[in-house]
Amino acid sequence: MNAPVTGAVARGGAVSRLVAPLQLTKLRLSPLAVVIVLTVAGFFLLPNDLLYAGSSSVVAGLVGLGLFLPIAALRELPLNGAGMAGLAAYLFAYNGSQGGLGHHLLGLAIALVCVTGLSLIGGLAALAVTGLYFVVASLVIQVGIEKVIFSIPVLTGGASGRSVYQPDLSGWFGTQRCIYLVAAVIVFASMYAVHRLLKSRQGFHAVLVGHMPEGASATGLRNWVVKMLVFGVSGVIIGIAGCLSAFVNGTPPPPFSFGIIYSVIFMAIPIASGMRDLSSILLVAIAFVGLPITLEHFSISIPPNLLSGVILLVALLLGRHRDRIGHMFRGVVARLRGGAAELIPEPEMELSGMPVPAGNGAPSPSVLLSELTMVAPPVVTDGSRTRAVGALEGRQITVRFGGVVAVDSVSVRVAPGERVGIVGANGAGKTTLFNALTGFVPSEGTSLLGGEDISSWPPFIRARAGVRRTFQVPRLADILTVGQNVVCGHGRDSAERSERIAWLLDHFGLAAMRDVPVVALPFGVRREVELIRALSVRPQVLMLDEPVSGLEDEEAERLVEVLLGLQAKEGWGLLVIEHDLKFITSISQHLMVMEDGHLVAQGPIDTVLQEDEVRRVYLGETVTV
Amino acid sequence: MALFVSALIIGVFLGTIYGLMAFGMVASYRISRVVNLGQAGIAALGATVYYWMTAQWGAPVIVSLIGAILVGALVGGFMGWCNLLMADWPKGFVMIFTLCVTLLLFAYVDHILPPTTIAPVSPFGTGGFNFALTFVAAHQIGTFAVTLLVVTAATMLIRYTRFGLFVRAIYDDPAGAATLGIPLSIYVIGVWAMAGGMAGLAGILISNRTLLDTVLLLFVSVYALAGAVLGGLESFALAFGGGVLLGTTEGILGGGVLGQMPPGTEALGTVVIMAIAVFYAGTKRRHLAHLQT
Repeated sequence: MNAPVTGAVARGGAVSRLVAPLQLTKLRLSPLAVVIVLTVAGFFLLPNDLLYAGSSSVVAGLVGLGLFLPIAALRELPLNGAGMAGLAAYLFAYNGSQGGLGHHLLGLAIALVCVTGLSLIGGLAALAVTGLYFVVASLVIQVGIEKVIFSIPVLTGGASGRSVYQPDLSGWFGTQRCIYLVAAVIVFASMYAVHRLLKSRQGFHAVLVGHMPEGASATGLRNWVVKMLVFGVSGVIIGIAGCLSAFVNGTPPPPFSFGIIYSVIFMAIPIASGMRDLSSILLVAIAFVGLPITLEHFSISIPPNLLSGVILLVALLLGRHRDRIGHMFRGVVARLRGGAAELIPEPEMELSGMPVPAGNGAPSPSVLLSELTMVAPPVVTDGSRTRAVGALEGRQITVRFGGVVAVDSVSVRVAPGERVGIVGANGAGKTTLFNALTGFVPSEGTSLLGGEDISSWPPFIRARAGVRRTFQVPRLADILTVGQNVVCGHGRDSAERSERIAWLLDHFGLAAMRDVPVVALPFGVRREVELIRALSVRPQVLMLDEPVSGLEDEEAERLVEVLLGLQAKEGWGLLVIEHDLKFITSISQHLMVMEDGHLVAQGPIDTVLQEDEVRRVYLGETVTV
Repeated sequence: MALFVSALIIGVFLGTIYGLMAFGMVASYRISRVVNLGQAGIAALGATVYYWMTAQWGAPVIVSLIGAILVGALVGGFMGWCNLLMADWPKGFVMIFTLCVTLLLFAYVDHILPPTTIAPVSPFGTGGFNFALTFVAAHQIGTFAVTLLVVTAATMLIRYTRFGLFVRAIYDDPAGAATLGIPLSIYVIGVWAMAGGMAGLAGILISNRTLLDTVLLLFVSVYALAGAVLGGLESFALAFGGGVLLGTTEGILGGGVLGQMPPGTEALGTVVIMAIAVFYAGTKRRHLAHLQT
């Protein structure tokens, strides 16, 4: 009885070690603080003629912010930021130049709709092609805007351009100060909105879809919707930035300013900022856009390319070595105070959630196994109306990869409350069978859930219907924390769901790791996190692919107890692939043995393990005939 | 007909330049998994060195050509060395570093060049001949021949020599190659130097026709990247082919078929062709990846 308690305490110690480096020092030079100070100081201190530099900087920062979303969340590099901003600027000016608030609002609406539409086209491209192919696809959009749309003189206004309304003010709060204020307020509001989005479940979903699409599908997420949402938001932000650029300049800049070169530079801004937090993007943009204008104002002539190159390089180095520089800074301040540097690096990421508060490294309250049988978590469903109830069944499942038959006419059935294990050597086809049943690979044969044919259902629909699974290599978003990963998935964010997740985290001894980025966790713990995510809603059938590989014996025993206890309460079916004989015999009622894509034997576990063929295939024993 | 032939020749000329740059990009991408945007800067530097040696120092064309290529290789090698220092950096960061190099080289080139826009002399002279009522410049023919020669030589180097064998081993598995005792740093620097030399040559060849315009060279390098990606970023021959296809399409549609239409229409064809090509290449590759899974 005491073993799990000991395990929890031991894990608590490990947690302390993991969490310790994440604790914050009191002394911290936050990029956000720097940005706010610079912006506010700029508003009060900058002379009228330099406020333009400030306004232009924040607008460039807003374009960078728009591009940050697909880069950070979906890991796609769009090369069409400048073109979209330019299109927004021209559409806004086209309507705005006709005068009146109504025309300006109409221009803003048209610009946002068109640019968001274009961004969604980019999103559609990202559904078909990814990585460098997406870079080229976005380049195609950029070239299309630049060479085709910008060559329409009616839109761009020709050489004279079109004028956009600017307030006519004089004195200290003059025109430029007013424009600066408007631009800064809009940019900070957008930054706050993006920050909130990234901290919301929708934001976690976007990151999961971008980093582990299979993992996202396995939780019931409709990946294409999430991707389109990210591109849509990105388009709105870039659209606003484009309109602002016309407003700041009084007329849209010439088409050259929205060319491919600027697209490359806009894309470089968020990357060079280190991709760690949103405020750094604004800092890089201020350096990149504001500095040259300011230097020019003071008649300091530095070649623009030299300045741009040096700024990008410095931003890159600062972004990359931010922790080291921060530590050096803290060390210097500490020495000045006569003490030693307090603490170390701070691997906080914008996408990894809130930093861990001091003292949270303590082990979670230990849980006795007896509690498991007494208290069960709330039963949460994901709210899908298509939910079927009953057994998961695969009939004559066959999977072919070209000429190779990876699974050959295998039938499997897991009824509610039943526990079935699958064993076999590497390459036997176990995981491929899992992939076929969950819809991740095309297969022949029929898959049924509660008697309903689900063969044509994509993975996310099967997940929503209750076919939940884990993978051999956990499909988690590394840059998210444990807590952020486990809340990902289809369904409403209810109090019951939160309670269930908290219960699961507690019973797996991971409560204290809730705010630790997954990237910092050992392999075995990642498996448990993925399992908790799969169990965050009540499944119909839970499918686990080698759940105890990487776990200590103690942890494996605990896993068995938690799974058995929960299954007894909720009555779902369990299908497990595992090489660990001790685990498989302790958890399975029925056993299937596979070899080279075929089913060699199946039946009650005791009977199957006695068969000579099974002993040969699975245990490697020489059978004397 | 004459219009079409003229457009075709210009397209093939542009395409070979894209192809040459794409070849270098694939080489550096395969050995380091980094998209090398430094090619544009090196191309500008190569063209400038060539111009400087021929016009300012009066050096023979061939000496200037070799000198410029060597300078390109030197800068490329330096970038390869920097890339080794940044081995644990995310590849996106290293890509932005290569963009920084381009911007700094552009600044240097803009600083040392005369204020007027210049065009370096052609290494192949000013001659030419008429074909189908179209004047074909010796520079265009020479560019085509030299590019083909360089690409063939580089392919042979990688395919049939000990150097190439080791490079291919690193392409496939850098860690495995290191355990075999292959000095990674030398080969990485070597491949980046080769890419740099190619970019330098591309810069010289294109500047004669388009003037030495740094912005245009960045544009050319982005198109070369598109060509390389369309070729799959793994195959040198396909990357070169992708670049040639892109340039030829652009030339034919822009200068010939759609050239007489309202402004912007000529680019529409290129956009459509590029879109089809990238979706074809991208989805085909994904299909292959799916099979591997």
